[in-house]
Amino acid sequence: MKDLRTLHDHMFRTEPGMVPVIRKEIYRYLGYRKVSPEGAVLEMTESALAESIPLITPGAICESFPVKYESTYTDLGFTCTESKNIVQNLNGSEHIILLCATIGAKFDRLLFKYGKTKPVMEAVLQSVGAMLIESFLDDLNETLKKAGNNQGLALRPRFSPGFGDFDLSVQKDIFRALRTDRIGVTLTDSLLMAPTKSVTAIIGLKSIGESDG
Amino acid sequence: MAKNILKAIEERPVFFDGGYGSTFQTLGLKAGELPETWNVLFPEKVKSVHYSYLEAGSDIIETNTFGANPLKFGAEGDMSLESIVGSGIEIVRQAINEFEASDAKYAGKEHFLAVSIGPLGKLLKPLGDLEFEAAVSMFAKIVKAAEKYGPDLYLIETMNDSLESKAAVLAVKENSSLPVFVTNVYDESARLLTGSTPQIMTAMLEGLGVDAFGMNCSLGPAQMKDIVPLFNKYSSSPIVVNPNAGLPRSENGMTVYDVDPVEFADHMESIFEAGAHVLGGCCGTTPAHIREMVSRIENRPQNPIIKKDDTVICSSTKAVTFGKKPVLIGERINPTGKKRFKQALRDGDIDYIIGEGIKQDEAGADVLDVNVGLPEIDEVEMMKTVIYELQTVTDLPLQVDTTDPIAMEAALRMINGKPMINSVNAKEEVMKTVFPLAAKYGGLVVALTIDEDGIPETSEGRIRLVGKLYENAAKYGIDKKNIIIDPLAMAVSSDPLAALATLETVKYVHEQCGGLSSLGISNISFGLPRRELITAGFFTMALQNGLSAAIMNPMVTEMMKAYQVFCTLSGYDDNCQDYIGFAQSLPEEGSGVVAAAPVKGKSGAESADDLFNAIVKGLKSVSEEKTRELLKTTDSLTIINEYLVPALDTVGKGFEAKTLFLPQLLLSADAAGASFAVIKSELEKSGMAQESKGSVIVATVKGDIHDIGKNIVKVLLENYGYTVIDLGRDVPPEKVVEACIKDHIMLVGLSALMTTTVPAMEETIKQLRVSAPWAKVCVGGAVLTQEYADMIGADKYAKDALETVAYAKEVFGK
Repeated sequence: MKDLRTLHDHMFRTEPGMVPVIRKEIYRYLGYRKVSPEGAVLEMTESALAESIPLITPGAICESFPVKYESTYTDLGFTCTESKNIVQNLNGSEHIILLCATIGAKFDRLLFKYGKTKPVMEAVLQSVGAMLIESFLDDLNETLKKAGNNQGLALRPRFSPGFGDFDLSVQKDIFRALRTDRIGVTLTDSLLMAPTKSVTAIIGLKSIGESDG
Repeated sequence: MAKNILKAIEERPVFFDGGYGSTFQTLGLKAGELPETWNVLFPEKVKSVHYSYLEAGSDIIETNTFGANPLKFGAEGDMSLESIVGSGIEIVRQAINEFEASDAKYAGKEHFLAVSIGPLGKLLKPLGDLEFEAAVSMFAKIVKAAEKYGPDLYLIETMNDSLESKAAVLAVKENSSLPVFVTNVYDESARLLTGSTPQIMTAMLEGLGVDAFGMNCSLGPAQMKDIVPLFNKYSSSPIVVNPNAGLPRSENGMTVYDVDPVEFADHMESIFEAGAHVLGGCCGTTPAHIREMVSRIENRPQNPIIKKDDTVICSSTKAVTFGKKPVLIGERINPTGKKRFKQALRDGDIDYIIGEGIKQDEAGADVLDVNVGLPEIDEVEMMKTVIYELQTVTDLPLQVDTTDPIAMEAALRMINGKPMINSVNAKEEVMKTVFPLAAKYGGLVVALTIDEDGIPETSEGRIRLVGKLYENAAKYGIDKKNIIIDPLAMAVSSDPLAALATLETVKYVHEQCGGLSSLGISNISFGLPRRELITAGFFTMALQNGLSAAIMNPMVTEMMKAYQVFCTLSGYDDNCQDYIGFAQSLPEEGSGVVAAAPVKGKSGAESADDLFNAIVKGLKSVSEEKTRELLKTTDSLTIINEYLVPALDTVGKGFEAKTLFLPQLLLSADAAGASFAVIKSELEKSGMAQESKGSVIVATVKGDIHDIGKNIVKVLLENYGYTVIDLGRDVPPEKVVEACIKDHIMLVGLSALMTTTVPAMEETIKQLRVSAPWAKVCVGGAVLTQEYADMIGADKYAKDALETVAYAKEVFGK
């Protein structure tokens, strides 16, 4: 991959079957801790997976920006923020990768259908969807991390609007900067993302060698 | 003489221009800058790019207005929508005029100016929050602005969603008489992001009267090459293909594309050979790409535009073809003769109505008839609500069934796909009303053989009307393939020759006209005992005479038997696979209802010794069975109090103690719900009604499209015996207040998942306090806390669904 510090308009798509399925995560989202479901719930999880996976269209867009730290705010290249949590998270990173990822709109149709007909299946699908988008993102993150390490860069943990004091209103700037409609992700008037199983995040890039704890 | 783009396309291959973004970047367009502003700021630069495409051989030049829409540009000032669109058109016109004047050899050549209309950047409901009619009016603003400057055609492009495409087409059709082209974005599996295929888009766009359509953007020419045949197979219209120059990658902070002009032209030649009529480029293509392509193709004879005879209707994700395997149209969404359905319409019980649709979908219907007419309700509003809700839960195409032209048009506007229209007949007044709607919105029109003199008794009389219907449809530009004759089945009990008159007409339509026919099958047996025997026998006879579709009840076993046997014996069932599956799903002799399809691994092996355990374990069918058994010896109240409620409480405690989890809670609720339903139907049979503990409104607040939490609360409340009025998601405060006042509701449950929608919750509470001060408000949802709930003035913060039930007990005292 090209230098992550000058990543521009990078589109990332993958086949639905290539997103790792992590059942333990589905169970965790369903509220199971330490134990795994059995019987009907297990069957439902499998059928939810079988029904969802052919419908997902995983896609992401990345773009990198230089970061400037001012006294009261941080200039992230596409927006300025006063978030203290961002400063902590970036830990002196010189650049960020801004990204938006989704598993697509067809999955939402499935959610709506079961929301009307079978709430328990909707609950299971919500967890399956959450697992799929996170798993897709982790995969993307791993690709970026490898590329970064080869370029002498360490990646900071992903940080999304709405975490801590990183205000959700930044979504508007993110959507403008990434032109996310190219992967079919849109923002509602109340700043929610549609399709629902979509994520925006920033990832700090820091030269390896400078102390990073 | 006016230029005619459609004539040009019939005569020769026609070429669009290519991409603008990368050239604009080299001319100085900055990242994040809106390219459309250049129409005002740097018109000369924009014109130079148009000019270079004219030099390269493009016949159609697109205006630089792709992103010009009311969400990005206002009504006033230098950068108003009108000035962006108007100057965009003027620049292209100047480029064309200057080019044609530059050399005598260009003077006779036709060039066309296409107004580029791109997506609005928001998803339409239910996937997003944009209303369909709001989208239509936004697109209409663009068209109205453009019309003043005299373009030649409209190109609606880069559309990811069939419904947004439809909104844009309607806006053009309603504000302009110019040709309209549509290109959608397909992925490598040849589907739009929302799931539509080329076959579906063909049915829908041809129905709407789009002049040419195809695909653009996202894919390179190599990938699009494989999709062209899918258009060619179904489309009777010119096919447009505008690919990217391969797939994007970045180089030194610039987006670059891999496919060079020679490779691009190689692929475009193949695309032309596969049947495309109008060719151009999208992102990453340059005048060099277009020049190379034009030089290879311009002197070749144009592909013929071949009319296809297939009749296809569709939803946004499912196409149904007529004229081959018979099509089953589910008749159950209709109040005629159905007490329970009428009650649901009066109560606004949308879930019941939608449930009838889902059951028919599961039972094997191909299409759903939708009739919600009842004198005492607002049919137009009900039609809109039911169509909207059905479209979110089923993939099946719909048949709009109404005699009210306003309800019919309202439904046709919002249908995401190409519907059936039920119905027109040979009365002049009716034809004048229905055919124009069918011509505007598209659809397969059910045409009844009835005129001012009534229904002819003989087949000769009906056949005469068949001719009249076809002729009149043609006057409105409606092809025979979009008419499906209904020769009307009449009761054989009142006229022994009734069935024959109908069957002869079916045969005539099939054999002599090569046309389609449909029947409401069950009328034939009216007034006779064991109606299903006559109905099913008649069904088989009609199918054998060439019937294309039947409006019927797919939940009646005799009908499905007749249908399945006919299909298997008529060559529509390879290796008898469908028949075998069907035969295995049949219940024991004599039960009369089709069993639900066997579900893999269904909990048949699991059992429970009594109703309590069945519910705790979440075994739905066992719970139903145990309830029926218990009802023989125990009264319903005892069953509820001694089995249902304690079982739910046990599950609830397990959930709180984290020994049971959400899906188990919901499964138990489902089982308890099934048990309640058995009790309720017993009570109704005995003339008693189960008393509701009270009515509760639930809603996800305005702006929020997540409703899982609300759905869970609803299920539990119902199971504890409360009546739930579910207002859905993204509900405006006014709607909550209105519902609350209407039935003087004592308890309102509001859900919000995101911090950004908490203000909407606060506003809802504020309005309730003013207009419905008696109502208690309980709030919940992922972002809420006790502090938040106090801050926005809620009566109660419920951390989960069980706490909401506990609060309901408190409010209603039971």
